[in-house]
Amino acid sequence: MKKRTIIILIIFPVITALASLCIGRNAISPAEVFKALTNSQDIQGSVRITIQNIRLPRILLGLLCGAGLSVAGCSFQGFFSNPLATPDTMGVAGGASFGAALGLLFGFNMIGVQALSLCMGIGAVLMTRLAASGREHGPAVLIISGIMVGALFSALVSLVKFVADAESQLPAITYWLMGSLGSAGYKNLAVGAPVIIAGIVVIFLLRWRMNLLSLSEDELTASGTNVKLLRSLVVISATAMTASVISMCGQVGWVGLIVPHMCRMIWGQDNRKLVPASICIGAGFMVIVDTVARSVSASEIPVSILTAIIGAPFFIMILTSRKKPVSV
Amino acid sequence: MKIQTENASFSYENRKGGRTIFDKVNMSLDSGQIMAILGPNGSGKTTFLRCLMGMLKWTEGRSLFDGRDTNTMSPKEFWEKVSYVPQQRMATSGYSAFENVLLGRSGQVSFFGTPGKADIEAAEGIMEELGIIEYRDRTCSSLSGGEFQMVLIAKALVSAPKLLILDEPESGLDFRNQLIVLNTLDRLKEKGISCIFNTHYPKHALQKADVSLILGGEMPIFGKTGEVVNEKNIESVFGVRAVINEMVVDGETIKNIVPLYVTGRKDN
Repeated sequence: MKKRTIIILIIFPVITALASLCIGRNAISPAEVFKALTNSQDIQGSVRITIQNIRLPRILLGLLCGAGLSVAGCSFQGFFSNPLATPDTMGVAGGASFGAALGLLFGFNMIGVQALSLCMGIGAVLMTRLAASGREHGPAVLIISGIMVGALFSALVSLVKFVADAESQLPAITYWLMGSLGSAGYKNLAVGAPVIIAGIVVIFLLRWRMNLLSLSEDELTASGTNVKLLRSLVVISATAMTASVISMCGQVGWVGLIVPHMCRMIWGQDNRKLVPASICIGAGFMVIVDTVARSVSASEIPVSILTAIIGAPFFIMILTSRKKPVSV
Repeated sequence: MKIQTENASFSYENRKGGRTIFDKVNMSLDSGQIMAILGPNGSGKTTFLRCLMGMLKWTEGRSLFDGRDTNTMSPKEFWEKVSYVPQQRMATSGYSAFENVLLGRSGQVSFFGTPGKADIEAAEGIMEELGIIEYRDRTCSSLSGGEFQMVLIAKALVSAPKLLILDEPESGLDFRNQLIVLNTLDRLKEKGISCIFNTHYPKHALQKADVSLILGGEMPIFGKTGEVVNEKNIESVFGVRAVINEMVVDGETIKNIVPLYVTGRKDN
């Protein structure tokens, strides 16, 4: 990748983050933001608290989630050799949502909800994997069992909603499921961030080898690569990242589809470029969307609504404008 | 390099007892030799190749690479010395020709690594040698069948293997591209790289292969091409009465085989 491109990619999320720190109910000037970040005593306490305790964790969460979802989307698309694959394909979104809903039903605190959501998300993918095992039919069986597992957990979420107390628990569950970065705090980040960062690191290291997954089964065997290890690492990393994001933010869809596609249109499909691009563009994208979500109206718009409103038409635009068929 | 099979057999099992595809194949190939595998449809040519590559297990017998039973070799060890060229099908991936060839270096790049200067130079070098460097940046789906087959061959050669296994490399290619692919086999031979290829064309075996394996008859037939690819074996295995003739062109003797008519097959 050209050096200039790398610099732009790194600067993009940084600039969006800094800009977002200035935006909010109280506009804060860049100078004050800088002072707050360096913990200087020169500014008002309320400004410092707003930046350090409210906006900064939220923006960090946005950067991580955007990067994580984009890389996960990229990975699944490589794994299935299919540009329509998303992190939801293997049922992780359903499982993580169920875990969170269950946690809220049982009255766990935020960390408990997050932990349960993470476990259920990974559990869902294990179920998908188990259901598809014993058959050498490749990705198709995995997709089908993923859809089934996802549907199962969707039904279970509905069950939780049904059982939940309509006054106190149901609204919390519903709003949670709609997705928001509002619950950002350093405690959440401490639990969820390491998983996302680890996942990003693994996929980043595997970014060239992942290209092999576009080959036929025989060619994969003939490459001498440990295919099982490669596939496992990719799926586990992508799944863990997605579950962690959902456990912290609720269901945020479309990011894993839009961002890799935008990057593919500009940089092609070599994952050596696609993965770093997805990380940076995804991080910035999420911060931009969340900034809009929290500042456009007095009450926060759930971020998944925005990603869907942007995502669906964007996607249709891609499909109809491309003269060549979309390929991975 | 030497690859051999000893009494290699393969059968499918089913409830009615099973079907033997081939039984007790004994073959051997040295450095710089070319072997062709011939046989009617369903005679097990591809199955034989897949067993040789370890994708299927021999039901009986074994294969040896440089004297070692291939079962004792790790896939990584085996594929460091052997490369596989699949049949060109519609390329679905949107990778460029160069990116595709670079994938062939996966054995030389560490698991968590990316290709380095040496790998990139190797890929460029092989593409230049094969005369395909001019379409390095074109996506594979925009290449013709023949061009894509050459890309697949380049990808297999970029890791400097001792043996190349090709599955019907000339199938589906036009008159000119078939010749280009087959002549590439000659150039590999000059460099000391051995080749094993499946083919539907006895003529290609006659013209290119030092030794040939014929499957589908009562017994597998293996030996020097000139000796085993003869009119008698062609008739008994393919059920085709054909005529083999020779012509001398520029001092070189070239063999050709012309099918005349269909006869009944001896068995099955």
